[in-house]
Amino acid sequence: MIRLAWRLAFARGWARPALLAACTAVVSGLLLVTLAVLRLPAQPEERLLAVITDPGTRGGYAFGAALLIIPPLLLLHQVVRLGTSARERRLAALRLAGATPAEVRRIGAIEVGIPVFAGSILGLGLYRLLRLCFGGTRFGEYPSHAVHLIPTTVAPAWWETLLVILGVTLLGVAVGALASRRVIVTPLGVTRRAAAPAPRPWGALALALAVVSGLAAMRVDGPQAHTLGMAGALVAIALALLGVMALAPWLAFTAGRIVARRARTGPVLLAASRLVAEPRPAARAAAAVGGIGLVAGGASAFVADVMAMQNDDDGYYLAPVALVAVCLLGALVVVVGSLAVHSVESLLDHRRSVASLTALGVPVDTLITAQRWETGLVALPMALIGTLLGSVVYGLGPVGGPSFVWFACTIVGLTLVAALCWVAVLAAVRVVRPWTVRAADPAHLRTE
Amino acid sequence: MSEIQFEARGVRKAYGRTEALRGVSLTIGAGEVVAISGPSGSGKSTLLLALAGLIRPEAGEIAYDGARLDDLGEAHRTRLRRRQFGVVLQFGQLVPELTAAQNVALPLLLERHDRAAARRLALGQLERFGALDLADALPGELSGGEAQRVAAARALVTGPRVIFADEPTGALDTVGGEHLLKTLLGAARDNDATVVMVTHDNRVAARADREIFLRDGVIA
Ligand SMILES: Nc1ncnc2c1ncn2[C@@H]1O[C@H](COP(=O)(O)OP(=O)(O)OP(=O)(O)O)[C@@H](O)[C@H]1O
Ligand SMILES: [Mg+2]
Repeated sequence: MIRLAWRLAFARGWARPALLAACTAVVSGLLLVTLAVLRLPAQPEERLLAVITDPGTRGGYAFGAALLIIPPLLLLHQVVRLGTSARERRLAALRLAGATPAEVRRIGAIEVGIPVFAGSILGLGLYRLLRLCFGGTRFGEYPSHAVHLIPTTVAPAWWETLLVILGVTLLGVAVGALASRRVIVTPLGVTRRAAAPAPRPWGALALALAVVSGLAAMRVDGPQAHTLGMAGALVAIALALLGVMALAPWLAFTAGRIVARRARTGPVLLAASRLVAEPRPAARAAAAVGGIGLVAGGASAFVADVMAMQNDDDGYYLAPVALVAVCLLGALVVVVGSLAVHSVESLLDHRRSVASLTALGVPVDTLITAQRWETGLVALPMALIGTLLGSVVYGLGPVGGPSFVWFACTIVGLTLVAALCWVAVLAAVRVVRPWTVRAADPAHLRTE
Repeated sequence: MSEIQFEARGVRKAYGRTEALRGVSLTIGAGEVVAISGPSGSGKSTLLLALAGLIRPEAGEIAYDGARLDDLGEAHRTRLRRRQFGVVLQFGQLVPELTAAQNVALPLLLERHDRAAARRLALGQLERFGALDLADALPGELSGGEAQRVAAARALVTGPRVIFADEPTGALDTVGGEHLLKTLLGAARDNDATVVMVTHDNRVAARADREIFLRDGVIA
């Protein structure tokens, strides 16, 4: 059974298992970093970035590192779904050959589990590598590099490491199961459970809760005020991220509907109607963009805050902002992967209609324009709403009222995020160009 | 007449508005070779799939060896099918990622047979159907008729008690179809297996012990 799953895992080439492993490696590496940071004593014996050394902000730093696992997890989800139709055909054929539903489920889990397990072990290496490049330096030793982000005097315990490896593997398998939960595999093919209803803006609920807990966090006082306030703020941030990402399907659907009604050119109409028909996959690919926007918006309001204070110690505050910016760029690279994988998936699933479009005389460039629209129509609104939300909430909450500097910083933040997001869209569509050209080959009309 | 192996009573099956089977009752004896024929869309495939336990009828009963087949659980039915039935369908039945030989060995592997032994048996079956040189080909590389022969080899590899075949010769030319049919029926006779096959072809139907003619979802 394991041999069979092993064979199936690699039957369609190495790209899918390699991507799965890479995603989980990043996830487990980041979790190990988080654990290492949490193990630091109140007075670390090494030189580290101020936000890490200061026990007051250390929790926030660890939290931030843990949050960075969201984009690779979303990408993992996309990759698992990659080639869904081929996978479904295979599972149905296995059922016909006499595999029971439970056996098919097990084969599916092992198929994802093997690369994911390999990835989570590779994460250990990634953690080592990061420590080598960005590790703290013991006091008294001469620092060999400039940025000290990861503790070296403490490390996660062996059981914590083991837990991370097993936990991340299970998480990966769970994400895999989640990605195929809507299909029932019968020996004669795959049927979908009742079509998913049109998405609704439930994310707004989480956003409202985020605001409530954020406000509550600012109001607490008493001896535990700092801890409670911090916890409340973290809960608020987590809820806000969740809310923005949960809004994505609704946003995709709404944007698609509005644009489809006004579309004047073929590619736009094609892109918008595809979003209306299937808002969820595109939304999933772009969900992380909203989170990135949210953090970027908060950061721009924070910068405004620091600039308004006009003290000499700007470096102390701005160093973490630079770090956040670098992390966001890293997350954006993962998002490019997500968007690209989504485009490939959508191409594979619509192979026949894509091929029939070219047979009708639609040039490949038109298809590529449509792809750009389809991705951009979700990603850009997500980016803008996220940024605006982050900036407004941070600007009105802790800072207490809009100011000119805040306004200027928000505008700059919005422009920057939108521009970067568009670059990500262009990059993603560029990456999948070879697939698009291949999918447009009318030869697909006769296969399958 | 031999003992009754299948007994269907009042079997109905609809796909949405289309009523594919509208109350079919029949019995099939152990070791019998039965051909199901009738015009296109008359419900032949549907009846075959219901007898093989691949679809569940909405009404009526199907008994196999005196026990109800249609209300067995999915896993139960699958295991029964894997051990006692061999199924050859019209199309789309081989696992695209596995070679022909692996596909044929699959039912044995699922029963946890030794891998080497499973491969040996699989190659033996492929040889029987004149498809030994296709052993390492992927289904995508096979022609329709070749895929059909591989599927037939897989249906026989476990030595089933019942063989279900939906137009097994549909994708083959006359000579190839003749050969496949002869092999299939020969293997069935060696095992004393029952054969239930759907066919358009009068010559194929003529080789059966009995012909069941369907029209509009009922036995005519
Ligand atoms: N999966 C399905 N979904 C919807 N309708 C179906 C499905 N399978 C069969 N039908 C319908 O049920 C009726 C009987 O189909 P069935 O496949 O049993 O016919 P058949 O006698 O095997 O035809 P053919 O000789 O063309 O294979 C047909 O009208 C067909 O359109
Ligand atoms: Mg048929």
